[in-house]
Amino acid sequence: MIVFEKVTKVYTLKNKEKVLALKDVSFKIEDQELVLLVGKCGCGKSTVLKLILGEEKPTSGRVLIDNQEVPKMKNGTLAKLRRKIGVVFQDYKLLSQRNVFENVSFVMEMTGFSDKEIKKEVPEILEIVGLENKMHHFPDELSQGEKQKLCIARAIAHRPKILLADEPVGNLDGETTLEILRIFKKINSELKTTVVIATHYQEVVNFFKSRILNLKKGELIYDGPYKKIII
Amino acid sequence: MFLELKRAIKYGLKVFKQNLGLGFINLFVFSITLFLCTLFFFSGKVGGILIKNLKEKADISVYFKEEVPKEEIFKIKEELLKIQGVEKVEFISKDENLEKFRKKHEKDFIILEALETVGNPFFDSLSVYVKEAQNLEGVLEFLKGKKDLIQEEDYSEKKSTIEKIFKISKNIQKGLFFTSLFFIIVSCLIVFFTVHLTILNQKEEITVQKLVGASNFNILFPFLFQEILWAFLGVLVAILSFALLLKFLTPYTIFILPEIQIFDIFKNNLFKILGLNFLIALVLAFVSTFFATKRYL
Repeated sequence: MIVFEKVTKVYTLKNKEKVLALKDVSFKIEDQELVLLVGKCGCGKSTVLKLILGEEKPTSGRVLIDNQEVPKMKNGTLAKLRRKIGVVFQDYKLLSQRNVFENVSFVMEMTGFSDKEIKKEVPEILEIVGLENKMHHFPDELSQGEKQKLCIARAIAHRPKILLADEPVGNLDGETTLEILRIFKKINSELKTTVVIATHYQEVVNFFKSRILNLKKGELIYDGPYKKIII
Repeated sequence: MFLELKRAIKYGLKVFKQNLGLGFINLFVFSITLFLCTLFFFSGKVGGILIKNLKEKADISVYFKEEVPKEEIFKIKEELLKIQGVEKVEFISKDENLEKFRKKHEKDFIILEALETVGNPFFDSLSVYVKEAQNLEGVLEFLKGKKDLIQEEDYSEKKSTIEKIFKISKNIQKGLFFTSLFFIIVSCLIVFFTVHLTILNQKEEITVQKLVGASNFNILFPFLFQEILWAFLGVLVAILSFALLLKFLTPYTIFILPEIQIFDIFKNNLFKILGLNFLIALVLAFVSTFFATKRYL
């Protein structure tokens, strides 16, 4: 279970200027839920995901995963937590010195998959996202769309307990977008993975028709079941 | 753990191959550092031999009267050895003294002829070697009590030479110590900054690895492995170039230090030098990688 208790996050810019990203945000995401984090660009969606992943610390309030406070975790515990989370980063964050196959196998290696399993499963996952022919390419040899697909493949390869996706279909064409969204739905329903998708696309919200957390200028303005909202 | 280690080594090898360009800078720096360490270890050895040779020349000879029996001289030898700071006492019989003298003047026929006429004019003697010049005081004090048995001793005529030798020896030791310390510190800093630069190049990679759940071991080990490989290659380059340099210099050093064969000293100490180099390389690689990655872990 993911819990946010009155979380406020203020970023200090290089010129010392303070920017409020989240203000008193509280919510609970139960295990196996699929939640859509929606709102315009700069409303704090990515900050919520970064706080869950422990990439950022809250200025005040508490962020808990399975009753453990993420910001207070030591390096080792945080690494273990991150192995249970799959992340589709908005800026991909691919390992530039590893090829497509190795980018996916890296997280599987971290989570204890055997070499045999990795050899068998990585091509299968790459086939799902349509990268089976680019297995030996390096990230800088891929298009933006392919990078996004690789990022998705890496996020789901180790069957994480939680899947965080930050604008996961921003650079994909219509057909691939649909394919990826179906995968997310399948992961949630069949593998019982908790899925949190941050998006500003109306189509994505309408596809899942799932619980919505709507953020506006860092404040949570709606937390409830699917309804037609204008982002 | 074994699987994790195997994968880390595999990745370390890959990083090693991928970063060959930057790696050659690493190799260069490691080689220079280890070359300097070898040079100063070796200078220490040569310096030690030089000092020993110098100190051998700083003995005092005590000549005993004709009538003093050898047993009495041996007793004095034992007592001298008990005095603090006495390193070695050598008994030289009057015949050995004569032989030494003959050898020294083997081309001087007048002296040799004179010797034939007078017979053996020498006495049994003891050569006393001390660790420090000031230790001679105790020896002289002891010998004062035995002056009835002593024909002569040469301390007063050798006094200034002995003191000079000890002073020079001390200065050589001090000089070697501080120069080596300085160069080792400077070299360590250069290695650290070069490794830091290599890792800085990988900053993004480390950040991403962390975000997808890599442990400190997963991140640190491939870099460490890569640095160890470069360091070990550095040992080979340093030792080989040092050996070549010595081979080249040996014919020239024979003129300056005829009693020292520098290449033989190197050969006799090769395992010690190799061991020392591997140890320094390992410590340098480990410490530099640890401190360079620490801020990103």
